[in-house]
Amino acid sequence: MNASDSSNANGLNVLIVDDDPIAIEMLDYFLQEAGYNVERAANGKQALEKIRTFSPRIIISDVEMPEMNGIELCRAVRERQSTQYTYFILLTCHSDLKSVLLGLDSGADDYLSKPFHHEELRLRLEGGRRLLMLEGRDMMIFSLAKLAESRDSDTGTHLERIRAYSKVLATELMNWPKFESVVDAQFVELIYLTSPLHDIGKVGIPDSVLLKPGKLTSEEFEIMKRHTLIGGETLSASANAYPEAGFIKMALDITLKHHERWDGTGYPFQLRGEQIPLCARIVAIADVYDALTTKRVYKDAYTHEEAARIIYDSRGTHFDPDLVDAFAMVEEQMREIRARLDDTPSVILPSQPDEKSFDTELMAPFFAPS
Amino acid sequence: MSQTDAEIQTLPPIFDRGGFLSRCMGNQALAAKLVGVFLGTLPKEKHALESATATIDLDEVRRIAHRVQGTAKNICAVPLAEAAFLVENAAEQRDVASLHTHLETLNAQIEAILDELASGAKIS
Repeated sequence: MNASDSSNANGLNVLIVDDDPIAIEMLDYFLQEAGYNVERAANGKQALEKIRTFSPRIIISDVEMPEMNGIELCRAVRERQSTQYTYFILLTCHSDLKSVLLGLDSGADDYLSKPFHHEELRLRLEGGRRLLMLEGRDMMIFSLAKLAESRDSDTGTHLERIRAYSKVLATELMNWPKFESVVDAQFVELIYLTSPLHDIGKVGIPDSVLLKPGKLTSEEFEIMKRHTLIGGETLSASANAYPEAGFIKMALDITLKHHERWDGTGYPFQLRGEQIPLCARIVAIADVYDALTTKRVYKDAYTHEEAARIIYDSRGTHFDPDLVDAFAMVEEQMREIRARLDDTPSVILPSQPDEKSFDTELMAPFFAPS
Repeated sequence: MSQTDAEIQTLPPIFDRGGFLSRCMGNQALAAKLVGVFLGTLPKEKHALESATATIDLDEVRRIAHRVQGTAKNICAVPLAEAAFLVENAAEQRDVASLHTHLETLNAQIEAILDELASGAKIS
């Protein structure tokens, strides 16, 4: 460990649990040198008491201890209802494979052989911190999305459905030669992670427009359309500050461009075809499918069949033809997600063309008289 | 059974000062503090082991021996760790006869390292 570690540890709380006084002293020294906040416990029972007030993000625990051993402690930690994940490292003897297997089975994330080397300890802790950071990132993204959703939605599972639809469509594309250089497992993971941010810009739309129950005027609709730019501006700042963070770039593309249309008639930039990033083209289908199959104040929910027909009819106009074909391949999965994550009563009557408001404006072509 | 000169030359030292100091990242103050903790706890562990053996509390013997083994490894006292391992193993196997034999060896190792550290505990 060296001085540079101090800034990285950033005061993370670590609980060390061991009945070996030398091990406790050594761990305490190394961890404090690296900038961690450290608390000690001599067995699992003491550790559980400490956890009540100390809230450790990482626990390093011996296996063999009186009162409550490390494996029992790990199980107890995992069984607790907690708002944040605790990274659990077991300290074991070299020969103690049985304990290692039991420990990992009880929910431990990693193990460290005794006597540990300070460099190995540092690296194991870095692994833990990386995982905790990912958890923080995922929670932050979803919290932001929920914040945006809480302002205008009467449905609690819209974001869950959007991410699920997007993942299903992206997973389908993984098998298509045309997309194999772009869509891999990481792309699928990122779109699942970032698609809930698509409407984050709605936090900047005035309540008088966002919450208006009836039809929007043309002027109000123009204001509403700004949500893509507001969200884009917000995420642009993050993308510039953290250019290496791929998930922010994808979140930016989705937020800014998920209302663009394949034929160039969307907004805010009237992008056309493959000028629209693939992730935004995917979320566009997911968002419209969800809007169609969800009951609103001004319309009933469409059936899956009706929504699917509208999407097929928009092949090459609103939507990327390839993505509509992909939709056809995963239709049953989309239907299953809609049914599983349904929080509104489904009514099969379609809305009337004259019941326009924000969402129906978006879907204007679907309601246009033939 | 006596050891040959070659065997003695390859035996690990009672206390590996260099290795221990390296484990402490060259921090002599930390090393001295840990030796102090070790000197304070080892006689208590020895006494606890003898008490548990006298009452044939084999689970307690195994647990204490396991802890001594871990402490010994941390302090770079390999012969002590090996002796503690044999006691732990005998207790786990419920082999009381072997336990007494290994406990004698362990006690000898405890005395040896206490002498070693008391006589020249300077960590450098």
